[in-house]
Amino acid sequence: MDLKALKKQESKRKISKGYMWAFFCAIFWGIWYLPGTVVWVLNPFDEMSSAIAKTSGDGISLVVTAVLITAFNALAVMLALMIWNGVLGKYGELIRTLKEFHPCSKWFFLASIFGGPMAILGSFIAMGFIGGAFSAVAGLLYPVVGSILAYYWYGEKISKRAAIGIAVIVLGGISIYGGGLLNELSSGNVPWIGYLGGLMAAAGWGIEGAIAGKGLDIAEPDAGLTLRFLGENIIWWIIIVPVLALVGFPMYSFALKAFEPLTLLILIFAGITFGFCYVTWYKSFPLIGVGRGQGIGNLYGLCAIIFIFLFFGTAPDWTIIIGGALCIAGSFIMFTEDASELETLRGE
Amino acid sequence: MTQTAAALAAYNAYWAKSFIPEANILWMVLILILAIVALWQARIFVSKF
Repeated sequence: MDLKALKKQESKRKISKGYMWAFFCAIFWGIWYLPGTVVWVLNPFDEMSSAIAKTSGDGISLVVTAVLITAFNALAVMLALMIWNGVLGKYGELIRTLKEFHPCSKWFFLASIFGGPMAILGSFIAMGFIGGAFSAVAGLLYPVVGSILAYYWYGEKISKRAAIGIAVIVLGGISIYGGGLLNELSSGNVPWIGYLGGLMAAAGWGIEGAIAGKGLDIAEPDAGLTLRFLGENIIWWIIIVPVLALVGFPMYSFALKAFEPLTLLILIFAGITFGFCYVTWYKSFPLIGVGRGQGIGNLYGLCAIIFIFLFFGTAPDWTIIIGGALCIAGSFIMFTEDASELETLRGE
Repeated sequence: MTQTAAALAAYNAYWAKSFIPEANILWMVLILILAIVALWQARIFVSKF
Protein backbone atom coordinates (compact mmCIF):
# COMPACT_ATOMS: atom_id res chain seq x y z
CA MET A 1 0.00 0.00 0.00
CA ASP A 2 1.47 3.38 -0.96
CA LEU A 3 1.80 6.36 1.35
CA LYS A 4 -1.17 8.20 -0.19
CA ALA A 5 -3.51 5.23 0.35
CA LEU A 6 -2.25 4.81 3.92
CA LYS A 7 -2.85 8.50 4.59
CA LYS A 8 -6.37 8.23 3.19
CA GLN A 9 -7.10 5.15 5.32
CA GLU A 10 -5.81 6.88 8.46
CA SER A 11 -7.88 9.96 7.68
CA LYS A 12 -11.00 7.81 7.23
CA ARG A 13 -10.38 6.07 10.59
CA LYS A 14 -9.87 9.43 12.26
CA ILE A 15 -13.10 10.83 10.81
CA SER A 16 -15.17 7.79 11.80
CA LYS A 17 -13.85 8.04 15.38
CA GLY A 18 -14.62 11.76 15.39
CA TYR A 19 -18.23 11.11 14.39
CA MET A 20 -18.44 8.31 16.97
CA TRP A 21 -17.37 10.68 19.78
CA ALA A 22 -19.77 13.36 18.58
CA PHE A 23 -22.57 10.78 18.59
CA PHE A 24 -21.66 9.68 22.14
CA CYS A 25 -21.82 13.35 23.09
CA ALA A 26 -25.36 13.62 21.68
CA ILE A 27 -26.57 10.56 23.64
CA PHE A 28 -25.05 11.66 26.98
CA TRP A 29 -26.23 15.22 26.46
CA GLY A 30 -29.77 14.06 25.67
CA ILE A 31 -30.02 11.78 28.70
CA TRP A 32 -28.60 14.52 30.97
CA TYR A 33 -31.99 16.27 30.69
CA LEU A 34 -33.50 13.53 32.90
CA PRO A 35 -31.44 14.27 36.07
CA GLY A 36 -31.21 17.94 34.98
CA THR A 37 -35.01 18.23 35.09
CA VAL A 38 -35.89 16.15 38.18
CA VAL A 39 -33.27 17.77 40.41
CA TRP A 40 -35.41 20.95 40.44
CA VAL A 41 -38.20 19.33 42.47
CA LEU A 42 -35.88 17.83 45.09
CA ASN A 43 -34.78 19.48 48.31
CA PRO A 44 -32.94 21.64 49.08
CA PHE A 45 -33.53 23.24 45.65
CA ASP A 46 -37.33 23.09 45.88
CA GLU A 47 -37.43 24.77 49.30
CA MET A 48 -34.67 27.20 48.30
CA SER A 49 -36.72 28.34 45.33
CA SER A 50 -39.84 28.82 47.51
CA ALA A 51 -37.90 30.65 50.24
CA ILE A 52 -36.27 33.12 47.84
CA ALA A 53 -39.54 33.61 45.89
CA LYS A 54 -41.22 34.91 49.08
CA THR A 55 -38.77 37.79 49.37
CA SER A 56 -37.40 38.38 45.86
CA GLY A 57 -40.07 37.08 43.48
CA ASP A 58 -40.33 33.99 41.25
CA GLY A 59 -37.94 35.14 38.52
CA ILE A 60 -34.98 35.88 40.80
CA SER A 61 -35.62 32.76 42.88
CA LEU A 62 -35.41 30.54 39.79
CA VAL A 63 -32.18 32.17 38.57
CA VAL A 64 -30.50 31.95 42.01
CA THR A 65 -31.59 28.32 42.42
CA ALA A 66 -30.29 27.61 38.90
CA VAL A 67 -26.90 29.02 39.98
CA LEU A 68 -26.67 26.59 42.92
CA ILE A 69 -27.82 23.63 40.81
CA THR A 70 -25.29 24.53 38.08
CA ALA A 71 -22.52 24.85 40.67
CA PHE A 72 -23.30 21.38 42.04
CA ASN A 73 -23.54 20.05 38.47
CA ALA A 74 -20.02 21.38 37.79
CA LEU A 75 -18.73 19.74 40.98
CA ALA A 76 -20.28 16.38 40.00
CA VAL A 77 -18.83 16.70 36.48
CA MET A 78 -15.37 17.26 37.96
CA LEU A 79 -15.69 13.99 39.92
CA ALA A 80 -16.84 12.12 36.80
CA LEU A 81 -13.91 13.53 34.80
CA MET A 82 -11.42 12.48 37.46
CA ILE A 83 -12.74 8.91 37.07
CA TRP A 84 -12.53 9.25 33.25
CA ASN A 85 -8.92 10.49 33.42
CA GLY A 86 -8.02 7.86 36.03
CA VAL A 87 -9.32 4.99 33.86
CA LEU A 88 -7.38 6.36 30.87
CA GLY A 89 -4.20 7.02 32.91
CA LYS A 90 -4.22 10.74 32.13
CA TYR A 91 -3.35 12.30 35.52
CA GLY A 92 0.22 13.06 34.42
CA GLU A 93 -1.04 14.75 31.26
CA LEU A 94 -3.53 16.70 33.35
CA ILE A 95 -0.78 18.17 35.55
CA ARG A 96 1.43 18.93 32.51
CA THR A 97 -1.42 20.80 30.78
CA LEU A 98 -2.31 22.71 33.96
CA LYS A 99 1.28 23.92 34.35
CA GLU A 100 1.38 25.25 30.77
CA PHE A 101 -0.97 28.17 31.39
CA HIS A 102 0.09 30.48 28.58
CA PRO A 103 -0.06 28.11 25.61
CA CYS A 104 -2.74 25.68 26.86
CA SER A 105 -4.81 26.12 29.97
CA LYS A 106 -5.71 29.78 29.38
CA TRP A 107 -7.96 28.66 26.49
CA PHE A 108 -9.77 26.15 28.66
CA PHE A 109 -10.29 28.63 31.50
CA LEU A 110 -11.66 31.09 28.94
CA ALA A 111 -13.94 28.35 27.53
CA SER A 112 -15.27 27.72 31.04
CA ILE A 113 -16.57 31.31 31.27
CA PHE A 114 -18.73 30.89 28.15
CA GLY A 115 -19.66 27.27 28.81
CA GLY A 116 -20.53 27.66 32.50
CA PRO A 117 -22.10 30.96 33.57
CA MET A 118 -23.44 31.55 30.07
CA ALA A 119 -24.41 28.23 28.45
CA ILE A 120 -25.10 25.79 31.29
CA LEU A 121 -26.80 28.38 33.50
CA GLY A 122 -28.84 29.50 30.48
CA SER A 123 -29.85 25.91 29.86
CA PHE A 124 -30.96 25.43 33.48
CA ILE A 125 -32.88 28.74 33.35
CA ALA A 126 -34.67 27.62 30.17
CA MET A 127 -35.43 24.30 31.87
CA GLY A 128 -36.77 25.97 35.01
CA PHE A 129 -38.87 28.66 33.29
CA ILE A 130 -40.23 26.74 30.30
CA GLY A 131 -39.34 23.03 30.41
CA GLY A 132 -36.84 20.26 29.68
CA ALA A 133 -37.85 19.66 26.05
CA PHE A 134 -37.69 23.38 25.20
CA SER A 135 -34.33 23.76 26.92
CA ALA A 136 -32.95 20.77 25.02
CA VAL A 137 -33.85 22.09 21.61
CA ALA A 138 -33.27 25.80 22.28
CA GLY A 139 -29.50 25.33 22.36
CA LEU A 140 -29.53 23.67 18.94
CA LEU A 141 -28.42 26.89 17.28
CA TYR A 142 -24.97 26.69 18.87
CA PRO A 143 -23.12 25.07 15.89
CA VAL A 144 -23.96 28.16 13.85
CA VAL A 145 -22.12 30.38 16.33
CA GLY A 146 -19.27 27.85 16.70
CA SER A 147 -18.72 27.32 12.95
CA ILE A 148 -18.75 31.03 12.12
CA LEU A 149 -16.33 31.88 14.93
CA ALA A 150 -13.98 29.00 14.02
CA TYR A 151 -14.04 30.13 10.37
CA TYR A 152 -13.21 33.78 11.06
CA TRP A 153 -10.82 33.14 13.96
CA TYR A 154 -8.57 30.35 12.73
CA GLY A 155 -9.84 29.59 9.23
CA GLU A 156 -11.63 26.32 9.85
CA LYS A 157 -13.11 25.33 6.50
CA ILE A 158 -16.86 25.51 6.01
CA SER A 159 -17.83 23.61 2.85
CA LYS A 160 -20.99 24.40 0.88
CA ARG A 161 -22.61 21.28 2.32
CA ALA A 162 -21.72 22.26 5.89
CA ALA A 163 -23.13 25.74 5.24
CA ILE A 164 -26.43 24.22 3.98
CA GLY A 165 -26.55 22.09 7.13
CA ILE A 166 -26.09 25.19 9.25
CA ALA A 167 -28.86 27.03 7.35
CA VAL A 168 -31.30 24.15 7.97
CA ILE A 169 -30.39 24.28 11.67
CA VAL A 170 -31.18 28.02 11.69
CA LEU A 171 -34.63 27.30 10.17
CA GLY A 172 -35.18 24.72 12.89
CA GLY A 173 -34.23 27.26 15.54
CA ILE A 174 -36.72 29.77 14.10
CA SER A 175 -39.46 27.12 14.30
CA ILE A 176 -38.51 26.29 17.90
CA TYR A 177 -38.52 29.90 19.13
CA GLY A 178 -41.24 31.29 16.83
CA GLY A 179 -43.85 28.60 17.44
CA GLY A 180 -43.48 28.53 21.20
CA LEU A 181 -43.35 32.30 21.47
CA LEU A 182 -46.53 32.74 19.37
CA ASN A 183 -48.39 30.27 21.61
CA GLU A 184 -47.32 32.08 24.73
CA LEU A 185 -47.97 35.56 23.28
CA SER A 186 -51.55 34.51 22.53
CA SER A 187 -52.00 33.27 26.09
CA GLY A 188 -50.58 36.54 27.45
CA ASN A 189 -47.90 34.74 29.45
CA VAL A 190 -44.38 35.13 28.01
CA PRO A 191 -41.54 33.71 30.13
CA TRP A 192 -38.92 35.97 28.47
CA ILE A 193 -36.22 34.91 30.89
CA GLY A 194 -36.65 31.29 29.75
CA TYR A 195 -36.09 32.32 26.12
CA LEU A 196 -33.11 34.40 27.20
CA GLY A 197 -31.76 31.25 28.90
CA GLY A 198 -32.13 29.35 25.62
CA LEU A 199 -30.23 32.05 23.72
CA MET A 200 -27.51 32.09 26.40
CA ALA A 201 -27.09 28.32 25.91
CA ALA A 202 -26.79 28.61 22.10
CA ALA A 203 -24.32 31.52 22.13
CA GLY A 204 -22.31 30.21 25.10
CA TRP A 205 -21.72 26.70 23.76
CA GLY A 206 -20.90 28.02 20.28
CA ILE A 207 -18.26 30.43 21.62
CA GLU A 208 -16.90 27.78 23.97
CA GLY A 209 -16.45 25.30 21.11
CA ALA A 210 -14.48 27.79 19.02
CA ILE A 211 -12.21 28.66 21.97
CA ALA A 212 -11.73 24.98 22.84
CA GLY A 213 -10.82 24.26 19.20
CA LYS A 214 -7.97 26.74 19.56
CA GLY A 215 -6.76 25.21 22.85
CA LEU A 216 -6.97 21.69 21.43
CA ASP A 217 -4.40 22.60 18.75
CA ILE A 218 -1.77 21.92 21.39
CA ALA A 219 -3.52 20.20 24.30
CA GLU A 220 -5.01 16.78 24.79
CA PRO A 221 -8.89 16.78 24.96
CA ASP A 222 -9.34 14.71 28.16
CA ALA A 223 -6.94 16.91 30.14
CA GLY A 224 -8.14 20.11 28.46
CA LEU A 225 -11.78 19.47 29.30
CA THR A 226 -10.97 18.67 32.93
CA LEU A 227 -9.20 22.04 33.21
CA ARG A 228 -12.21 23.71 31.61
CA PHE A 229 -14.38 22.29 34.42
CA LEU A 230 -11.78 23.25 37.04
CA GLY A 231 -12.22 26.80 35.72
CA GLU A 232 -16.00 26.52 35.90
CA ASN A 233 -15.88 25.26 39.49
CA ILE A 234 -13.68 28.23 40.42
CA ILE A 235 -16.19 30.61 38.79
CA TRP A 236 -19.17 29.13 40.66
CA TRP A 237 -17.73 28.27 44.07
CA ILE A 238 -15.13 31.04 44.50
CA ILE A 239 -16.81 33.93 42.67
CA ILE A 240 -20.56 33.68 41.96
CA VAL A 241 -21.90 31.68 44.95
CA PRO A 242 -19.98 33.84 47.52
CA VAL A 243 -21.11 37.04 45.76
CA LEU A 244 -24.76 35.92 45.88
CA ALA A 245 -24.31 35.00 49.57
CA LEU A 246 -22.87 38.47 50.26
CA VAL A 247 -25.85 40.05 48.51
CA GLY A 248 -28.08 38.21 51.00
CA PHE A 249 -29.25 35.01 49.33
CA PRO A 250 -29.10 31.88 51.56
CA MET A 251 -26.60 30.07 49.30
CA TYR A 252 -24.48 28.28 51.92
CA SER A 253 -27.32 27.18 54.18
CA PHE A 254 -29.07 25.48 51.25
CA ALA A 255 -25.80 24.20 49.70
CA LEU A 256 -25.03 22.34 52.93
CA LYS A 257 -28.49 20.76 52.84
CA ALA A 258 -27.79 19.22 49.42
CA PHE A 259 -25.97 16.32 51.09
CA GLU A 260 -29.07 14.15 51.07
CA PRO A 261 -28.98 10.63 49.49
CA LEU A 262 -31.53 11.10 46.69
CA THR A 263 -30.30 14.60 45.77
CA LEU A 264 -26.69 13.40 45.73
CA LEU A 265 -27.61 10.38 43.61
CA ILE A 266 -29.33 12.56 41.01
CA LEU A 267 -26.39 15.01 41.01
CA ILE A 268 -23.92 12.14 40.51
CA PHE A 269 -25.85 10.91 37.46
CA ALA A 270 -26.05 14.48 36.16
CA GLY A 271 -22.26 14.65 36.59
CA ILE A 272 -21.63 11.37 34.74
CA THR A 273 -23.86 12.27 31.79
CA PHE A 274 -22.71 15.85 31.49
CA GLY A 275 -19.02 15.11 32.09
CA PHE A 276 -18.93 12.27 29.59
CA CYS A 277 -20.95 14.27 27.05
CA TYR A 278 -18.49 17.13 27.32
CA VAL A 279 -15.34 15.01 27.12
CA THR A 280 -16.60 13.18 24.02
CA TRP A 281 -17.58 16.56 22.51
CA TYR A 282 -14.03 17.88 23.01
CA LYS A 283 -12.55 14.62 21.66
CA SER A 284 -14.47 15.06 18.39
CA PHE A 285 -13.16 18.58 17.64
CA PRO A 286 -9.56 17.73 16.60
CA LEU A 287 -10.85 14.78 14.51
CA ILE A 288 -13.69 16.35 12.49
CA GLY A 289 -13.53 20.08 13.33
CA VAL A 290 -15.58 22.31 15.63
CA GLY A 291 -18.43 22.93 13.14
CA ARG A 292 -19.06 19.26 12.37
CA GLY A 293 -18.45 18.10 15.95
CA GLN A 294 -21.04 20.58 17.13
CA GLY A 295 -23.36 19.74 14.24
CA ILE A 296 -23.47 16.02 15.06
CA GLY A 297 -23.48 16.76 18.78
CA ASN A 298 -26.68 18.63 17.94
CA LEU A 299 -28.45 15.30 17.74
CA TYR A 300 -28.75 15.73 21.50
CA GLY A 301 -32.04 17.53 20.75
CA LEU A 302 -33.50 14.37 19.25
CA CYS A 303 -31.96 12.20 22.00
CA ALA A 304 -33.40 14.47 24.71
CA ILE A 305 -36.89 14.37 23.17
CA ILE A 306 -36.69 10.55 22.91
CA PHE A 307 -35.41 10.08 26.48
CA ILE A 308 -37.93 12.58 27.91
CA PHE A 309 -40.73 10.87 25.97
CA LEU A 310 -39.66 7.36 27.07
CA PHE A 311 -38.89 8.06 30.73
CA PHE A 312 -41.26 10.96 31.54
CA GLY A 313 -43.99 9.99 29.08
CA THR A 314 -44.46 13.59 27.93
CA ALA A 315 -44.60 14.49 24.24
CA PRO A 316 -43.22 17.93 23.25
CA ASP A 317 -45.29 20.51 21.28
CA TRP A 318 -45.46 20.07 17.48
CA THR A 319 -43.46 23.25 16.85
CA ILE A 320 -40.58 21.85 18.92
CA ILE A 321 -40.78 18.53 17.05
CA ILE A 322 -40.65 20.25 13.62
CA GLY A 323 -37.81 22.53 14.76
CA GLY A 324 -35.91 19.59 16.25
CA ALA A 325 -36.40 17.56 13.05
CA LEU A 326 -35.00 20.41 10.92
CA CYS A 327 -31.98 20.75 13.21
CA ILE A 328 -31.35 17.03 12.99
CA ALA A 329 -31.73 17.11 9.18
CA GLY A 330 -29.12 19.89 9.12
CA SER A 331 -26.77 17.77 11.22
CA PHE A 332 -27.16 14.82 8.82
CA ILE A 333 -26.41 17.00 5.80
CA MET A 334 -23.04 17.67 7.45
CA PHE A 335 -22.60 14.04 8.54
CA THR A 336 -22.99 12.67 4.99
CA GLU A 337 -20.30 14.96 3.60
CA ASP A 338 -17.62 13.35 1.42
CA ALA A 339 -14.66 12.24 3.58
CA SER A 340 -12.15 13.91 1.21
CA GLU A 341 -13.60 17.28 2.24
CA LEU A 342 -12.44 16.60 5.81
CA GLU A 343 -8.85 15.57 5.10
CA THR A 344 -7.72 19.06 6.00
CA LEU A 345 -9.91 20.89 8.52
CA ARG A 346 -8.31 24.30 8.18
CA GLY A 347 -8.01 26.51 5.11
CA GLU A 348 -4.62 27.27 3.60
CA MET B 1 -32.29 17.71 54.97
CA THR B 2 -34.59 14.85 54.14
CA GLN B 3 -36.99 14.96 51.22
CA THR B 4 -40.46 16.22 52.08
CA ALA B 5 -43.53 14.24 51.04
CA ALA B 6 -44.32 16.95 48.47
CA ALA B 7 -40.82 16.79 46.95
CA LEU B 8 -40.93 12.98 46.74
CA ALA B 9 -44.42 13.09 45.21
CA ALA B 10 -43.22 15.57 42.56
CA TYR B 11 -40.15 13.41 41.88
CA ASN B 12 -42.21 10.21 41.55
CA ALA B 13 -44.73 11.98 39.33
CA TYR B 14 -42.05 12.43 36.66
CA TRP B 15 -41.66 8.66 36.23
CA ALA B 16 -45.32 7.75 36.78
CA LYS B 17 -46.35 8.33 33.14
CA SER B 18 -43.34 6.53 31.65
CA PHE B 19 -43.80 3.82 29.04
CA ILE B 20 -40.93 1.88 30.62
CA PRO B 21 -41.50 -0.31 33.71
CA GLU B 22 -39.38 0.72 36.74
CA ALA B 23 -38.36 3.85 34.83
CA ASN B 24 -37.14 5.50 38.06
CA ILE B 25 -34.39 2.85 38.28
CA LEU B 26 -33.81 1.95 34.63
CA TRP B 27 -32.66 5.44 33.58
CA MET B 28 -29.74 5.12 36.00
CA VAL B 29 -28.92 1.61 34.76
CA LEU B 30 -28.95 2.91 31.17
CA ILE B 31 -26.54 5.73 32.07
CA LEU B 32 -24.16 3.32 33.79
CA ILE B 33 -24.14 0.99 30.75
CA LEU B 34 -23.50 3.94 28.39
CA ALA B 35 -20.71 5.22 30.66
CA ILE B 36 -18.96 1.84 30.70
CA VAL B 37 -19.21 1.54 26.88
CA ALA B 38 -17.80 5.07 26.47
CA LEU B 39 -14.88 4.35 28.81
CA TRP B 40 -14.15 1.08 26.98
CA GLN B 41 -14.14 2.92 23.63
CA ALA B 42 -11.93 5.65 25.09
CA ARG B 43 -9.36 3.06 26.21
CA ILE B 44 -9.35 1.53 22.73
CA PHE B 45 -8.94 5.03 21.25
CA VAL B 46 -6.01 5.82 23.57
CA SER B 47 -4.23 2.61 22.57
CA LYS B 48 -4.72 3.12 18.80
CA PHE B 49 -4.20 6.86 18.29
